[in-house]
Amino acid sequence: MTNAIYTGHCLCGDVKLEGRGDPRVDVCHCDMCLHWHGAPGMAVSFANGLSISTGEALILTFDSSEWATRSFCKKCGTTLFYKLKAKDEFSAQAGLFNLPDTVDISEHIFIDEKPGWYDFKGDAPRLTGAETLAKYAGDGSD
Amino acid sequence: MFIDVSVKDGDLRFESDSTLAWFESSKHARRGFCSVCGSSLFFKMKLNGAPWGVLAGTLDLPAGLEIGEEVFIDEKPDYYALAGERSHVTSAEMHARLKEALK
Repeated sequence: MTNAIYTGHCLCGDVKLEGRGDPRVDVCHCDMCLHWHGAPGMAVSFANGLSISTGEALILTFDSSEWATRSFCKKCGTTLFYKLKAKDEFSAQAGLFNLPDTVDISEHIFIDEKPGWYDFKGDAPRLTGAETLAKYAGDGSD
Repeated sequence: MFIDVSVKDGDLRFESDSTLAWFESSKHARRGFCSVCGSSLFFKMKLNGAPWGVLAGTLDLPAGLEIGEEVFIDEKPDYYALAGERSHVTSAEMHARLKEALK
């Protein structure tokens, strides 16, 4: 565990995010991530949390499902972060940050929604949508 | 990660573009996105007749397609790599291509 601080920014640079602690990168292949990013969603979360440092007024939030929202910079359109409504937890687009070379993909989720035109290298676990929900959605009590 | 499908200028038809927004991302190119949901849509060079680089995830593509080449490969971070063999193009080579296109 480290106390490193990572600063990320959108394409125009007006929204800046701060991630604290060890980063973890996961890849989501769900149809909604594909449509939003235009590509699989590579998400980073940080051991000690993520916050907005500047540009909050430029952030628009789209209510993308019953359980989550997706926020983007209204000036440059950069997809910024995904947030579960029931939790105060964000995961940001990994590409916003310069992450250390030691970071590897932890998990691929919703792998059964992945189209055939790409595949990732590496042997990180591949979870189907059902496996992802069983592992993370829990019983809704947390 | 940016994976795009090249569509000839004139071959892309909008059924609706009322929420389309553009960002001028450099002197030579702009990027389109949906101003309501933030979906990234396409990249377009400002050159006359330049093709649309439509983000692959926005399209329901036919089976059997494969990625043609990977560009700006030297700017790729270490935490991911795509599987499969194809040509890898560096940023220096891409800048040379851009220079040629702008002639």
